[in-house]
Amino acid sequence: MLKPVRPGPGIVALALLGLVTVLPPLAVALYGLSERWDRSLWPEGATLAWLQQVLRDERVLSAAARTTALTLAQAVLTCTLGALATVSAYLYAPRLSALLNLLAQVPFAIPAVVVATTALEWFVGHWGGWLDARVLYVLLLVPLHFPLVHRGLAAALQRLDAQVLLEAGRTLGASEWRTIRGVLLPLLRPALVAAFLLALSAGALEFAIANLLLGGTHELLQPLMNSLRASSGHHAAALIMLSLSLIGLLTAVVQRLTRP
Amino acid sequence: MPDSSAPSTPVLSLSDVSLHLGGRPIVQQVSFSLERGRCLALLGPSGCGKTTLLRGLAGLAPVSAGQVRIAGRDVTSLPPQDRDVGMVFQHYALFPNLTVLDNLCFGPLARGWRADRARDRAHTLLSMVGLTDHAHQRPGQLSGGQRQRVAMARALASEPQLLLMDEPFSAIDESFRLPLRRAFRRMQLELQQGCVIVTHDRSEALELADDIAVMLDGRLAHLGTPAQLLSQPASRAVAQFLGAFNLLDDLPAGLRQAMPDAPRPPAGWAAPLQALQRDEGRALHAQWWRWQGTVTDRHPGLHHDLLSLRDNSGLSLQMIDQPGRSRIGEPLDCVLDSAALHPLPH
Repeated sequence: MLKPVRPGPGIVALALLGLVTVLPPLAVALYGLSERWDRSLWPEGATLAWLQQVLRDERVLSAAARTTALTLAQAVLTCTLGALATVSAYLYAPRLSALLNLLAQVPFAIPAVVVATTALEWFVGHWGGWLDARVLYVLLLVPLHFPLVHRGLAAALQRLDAQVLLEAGRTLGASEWRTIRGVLLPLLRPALVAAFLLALSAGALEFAIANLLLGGTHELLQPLMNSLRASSGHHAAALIMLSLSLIGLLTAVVQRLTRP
Repeated sequence: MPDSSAPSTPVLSLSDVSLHLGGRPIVQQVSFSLERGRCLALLGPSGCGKTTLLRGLAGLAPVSAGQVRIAGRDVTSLPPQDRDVGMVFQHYALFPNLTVLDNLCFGPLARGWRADRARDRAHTLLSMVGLTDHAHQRPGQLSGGQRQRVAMARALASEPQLLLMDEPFSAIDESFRLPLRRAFRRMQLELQQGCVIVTHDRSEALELADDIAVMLDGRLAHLGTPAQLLSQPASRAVAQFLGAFNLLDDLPAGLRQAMPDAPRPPAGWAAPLQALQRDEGRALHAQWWRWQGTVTDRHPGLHHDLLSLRDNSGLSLQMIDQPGRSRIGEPLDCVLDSAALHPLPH
């Protein structure tokens, strides 16, 4: 007789994963909403003061605006170029897909610090002045975040059997663009949205390059959080909480708007 | 200018068509033509090049040599959009984000039809395939058989000169396959739609097609009606592929007596399995050959049993018999009508 499958180990693993994922941001949120948390195991006195002070801080506001602009720019650019490269290679040059798969591994092999210092040497040290550091920052993030777009999109194309759908469109008398616009793009929308959100989140949380390349001139939120941590942990926690909430909100809105 | 719609113009004509994939020849020098309103089956084992040839007809694979004409027009180098064909893919390739109605309207609208004309045509076809109530559902909400019918209706929506079908019934459960292909045949005859269907299923080809082209190793090995195929296979390889013949390298003595003037064909003789029957005490005709064999094997089937028989000289033949009527080891008296023997040239 077959024994029923017991989900025991899976549930434990899921619970552990949930704990590890949720606990740190929860602790940060509690720290950002409490008056102090240094005298006992539990935080003391609920307050919104840290949050209000952070929201009124000019330095925070200008860093937030800069971060939003640069993060959006790199996410849009990464998704546009990444999607064009992945879809074109899959549909028209399958051999190129293998090369793109290889390229998608490269960012994991090079530490972000190395990228940042090399970029500093080449573009600021050698040819400084002709290329704006913010543009350079966006251009550096595009290849680094390309795997986030490529992996999901390539899997979606495979799952949809996109090549056959395109062929079907051609035998029905439609131009390729008509089939791509009317069939493939709507079907790829969830994968594109997921890729955009991943690129956005990864950009918003990127620290090493933002700190080394823009830290002195165009401060972003990530380095700011780090520097606030040294002066006021509560302000840093409030800022992190705000940042995570905004990303969560944006994710929910985009997913809601793009629901099939 | 020739009138391409004249009844005498074949809807499809191939002259010495070859296709290569990755530099390797897949289809070699295939020639045939198809008259309007007829259905031709490209029949062959896996890897024989039949699907590649179909893709070549659709314009989805480049023709390396030869000429393809559809309704008298040379389409050899035209893209699929300009060939005036409809195609049913093996797994249908329906657009999952569009409703059934939108799937059917996609082709006509792409070809510049007005929206109301496209919708009328779609509704007519949906009614023909019995899916009017499913017009606003998406393919994912339909069963396999329903999806197949939508794919067929979609391929016909633009009123193409030629319908191409790549193993259209292979992904359907056997119990649904038979009624579906009969429904297709009725519709094809009703519309007088010229059609090429790729299949590896012999019974499907025999049931659906007016003409059958057997492909073996990338070449056209036989072309003819189902009746011709079942009585006069073009070669020993075709007869072996069909598996519906007793093959004789040479005539046994008894048969030689019944056919004293028969030549010795290079590849022997083929006799349809039905030509070998139980004797049952019937009066012996001059052209019949009487033979006794012992049942060595029995393969039960839904409608009949296939028996393997062997005589004392070692000659082995196969015979179709009623289900459960014979048992292994039983001696059987049989007769074979020598008129059914077909000489095999190669």
